[in-house]
Amino acid sequence: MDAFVFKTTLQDNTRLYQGKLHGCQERAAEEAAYELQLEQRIAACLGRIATLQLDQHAHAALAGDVARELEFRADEQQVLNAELAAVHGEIDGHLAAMRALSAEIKAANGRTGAFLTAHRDFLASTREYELAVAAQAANAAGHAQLHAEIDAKLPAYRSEPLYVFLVDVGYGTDAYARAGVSRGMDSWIAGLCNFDANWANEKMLLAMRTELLNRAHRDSQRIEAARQALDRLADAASAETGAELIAKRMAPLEAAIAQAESRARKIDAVLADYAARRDPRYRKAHELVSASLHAHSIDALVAQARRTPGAEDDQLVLEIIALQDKLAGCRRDGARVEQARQAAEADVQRAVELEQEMQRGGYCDGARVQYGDDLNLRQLVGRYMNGDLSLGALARELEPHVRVQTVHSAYQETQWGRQQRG
Amino acid sequence: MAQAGLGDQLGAMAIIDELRHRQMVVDEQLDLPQRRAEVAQRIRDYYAGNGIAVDEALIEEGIRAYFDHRLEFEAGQPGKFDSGVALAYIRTVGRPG
Repeated sequence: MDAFVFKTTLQDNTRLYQGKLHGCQERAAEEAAYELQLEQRIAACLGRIATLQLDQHAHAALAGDVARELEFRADEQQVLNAELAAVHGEIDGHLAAMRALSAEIKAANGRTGAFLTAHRDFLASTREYELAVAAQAANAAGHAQLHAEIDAKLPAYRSEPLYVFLVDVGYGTDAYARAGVSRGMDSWIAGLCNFDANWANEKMLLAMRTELLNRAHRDSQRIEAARQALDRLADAASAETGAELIAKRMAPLEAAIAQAESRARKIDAVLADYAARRDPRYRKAHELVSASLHAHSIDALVAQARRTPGAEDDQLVLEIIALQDKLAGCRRDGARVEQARQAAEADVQRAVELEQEMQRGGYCDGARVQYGDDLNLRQLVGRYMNGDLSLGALARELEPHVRVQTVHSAYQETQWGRQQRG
Repeated sequence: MAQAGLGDQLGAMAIIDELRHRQMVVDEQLDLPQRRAEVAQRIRDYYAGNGIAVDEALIEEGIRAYFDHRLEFEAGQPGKFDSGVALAYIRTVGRPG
């Protein structure tokens, strides 16, 4: 046997015990999870009993601190309800004031309307506004048609190279300053591309486009001016009849209602917690009852459940008894699994120590050590793992099988070398 | 001084008249529906005056076709040689600086 086989045998041994330990760990985790599950189911049953007892107001059966929490809770709920009713009353008051104000505004607007209708300027301004809007609407369709025509026809003027050239050099404009042969050639080219007529047409199309934009702007301006005139008259009339002042009194009422509604929403949210039993007082009472029930012996629990009127908690108590039986069995199994786990852990530790000690002692060094074929390493390792051999005893049993070799020296301290010396 | 003032006035008025004329021409082009209606009416009157019966749809179609082609780019009809020389000129020596 060479040192490599020796080493892998020890490693296999370590892995074997690590596998056993892993199995024990998995089993322990499963047991722990099952135990936790049983405890949770018992806690859930206790919680349901607590809920039943709280629901049935079995205050006599409850501890004083729980009863106190429930009384505080009832007081808080009452205060919140009273506050909410007050806020709603406040909102109703504001709404009534707004309704009264609306009637005033309506009357004032009526007066404003009558005032304006009788006002000659207002009639004229209204007429002008209507005419301006009508003119814009009437022009819009025609303008769109003309824009489409211009947009369709202008690109052709950019597609003919001779014409484009002349436009680029400013031919036909006051800025044109070419002379001599160039001027003569330009004039000749102008004849070829029908420049004068096309230039006049293009300028006309561009002027039409500009004028259309001006007209649209004038239409908008006319409407805006008419609107402003109407607004000025309406403001003046409103000031005259007091409608504006009345309307200003509406804003603070609206703000007060918004504020009150915000407060009401907050109170509603808190009350919703009470209705859904999410409020801190209920949660605390529930925790207290659950803890109290948990601390009771099963007999005390049965007695307490019997004192309450419903049968549901009696059923829950029976369920808890069954679960507690299961839990006791589970804990016994858990203790056994834990013992096995600890033993497996110790085995792994022992196997690792063996491997490390053999490594440190040079027993795994393939360059220096070989073993005789008569070595039964597995048997030795098995005895060590069973505790029949200590590390030192194992090393002593190993020694006779060791063949030490020195590769680079003429003298080899091996079985063969010792025979030579002998 | 008075003569110089009159000269200025006349010069300015000439420019204003030119601008007014341009504006009138543009307005005339922009008032397309009115122009179409006027031309159609004159055509109807002409045919009626000469005792010629013409379908109203034909008049409308003719007017629409005419106005559809107004202000369109009209390319010249140069010969191949002239066109080639002109293009060579504008691509080589014709372009300013």
